[in-house]
Amino acid sequence: MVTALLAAEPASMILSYLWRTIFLLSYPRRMAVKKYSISVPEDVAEQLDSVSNVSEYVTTAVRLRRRGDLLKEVFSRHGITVTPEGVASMSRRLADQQTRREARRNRQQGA
Amino acid sequence: MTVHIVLDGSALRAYAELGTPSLAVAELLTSVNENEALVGVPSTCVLDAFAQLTKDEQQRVEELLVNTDGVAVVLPLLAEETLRIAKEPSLAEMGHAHAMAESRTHEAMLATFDPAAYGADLDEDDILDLSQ
Repeated sequence: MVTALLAAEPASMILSYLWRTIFLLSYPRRMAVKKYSISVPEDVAEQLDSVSNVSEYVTTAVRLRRRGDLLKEVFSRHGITVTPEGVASMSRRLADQQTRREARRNRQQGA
Repeated sequence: MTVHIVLDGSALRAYAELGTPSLAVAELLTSVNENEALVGVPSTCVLDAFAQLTKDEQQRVEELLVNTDGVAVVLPLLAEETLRIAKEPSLAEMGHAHAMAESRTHEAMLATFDPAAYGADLDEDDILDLSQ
């Protein structure tokens, strides 16, 4: 069979086949992927045009949204209503406090 | 993703017992998630909290830890850290000691409704006082 293969196929194609086989066998098993064709508004399209890996960007965004939705579901079941204003206020507070922490660390490192 | 906030037992209890304090915890988790980060919950804080909660309250904490796709993650107490944390002299509960250790490990703020428990051992800005 190998002899017949060698006779039928150019050497470069055989090498290519062998290389692909070695690559696939040595590469870690990946999660299956599915391709989608989507339509997005112009502003979103502009953003995606500026991204080097659109698939990774969209995957991260979807996972982030999924976690956010799960949080909302859990909070809702527990009778807790989170508002965008409340989250924004908490985010500002965290950012301000983080700035102070970093300023303190810089002072300590500079001392 | 990195741990930006460590949540202690007092915060877990506040969430579980519902009422106004639970909203601060919910807003905190939402904010951290929006920043693509994690909230770490030391395992001993889970144990401390569960010991003081009713079954329904425990169920709420469990949902928070299990059904949010990893926004809140339990931080284990590793064998090599156990003795070091056990020797923390000024802390009343092991959950406090574990929370403080994780806060230092991850350089994360420690979110609590009991800031006085850590006051002598952490800088003021390292403590997120959720009671305010």
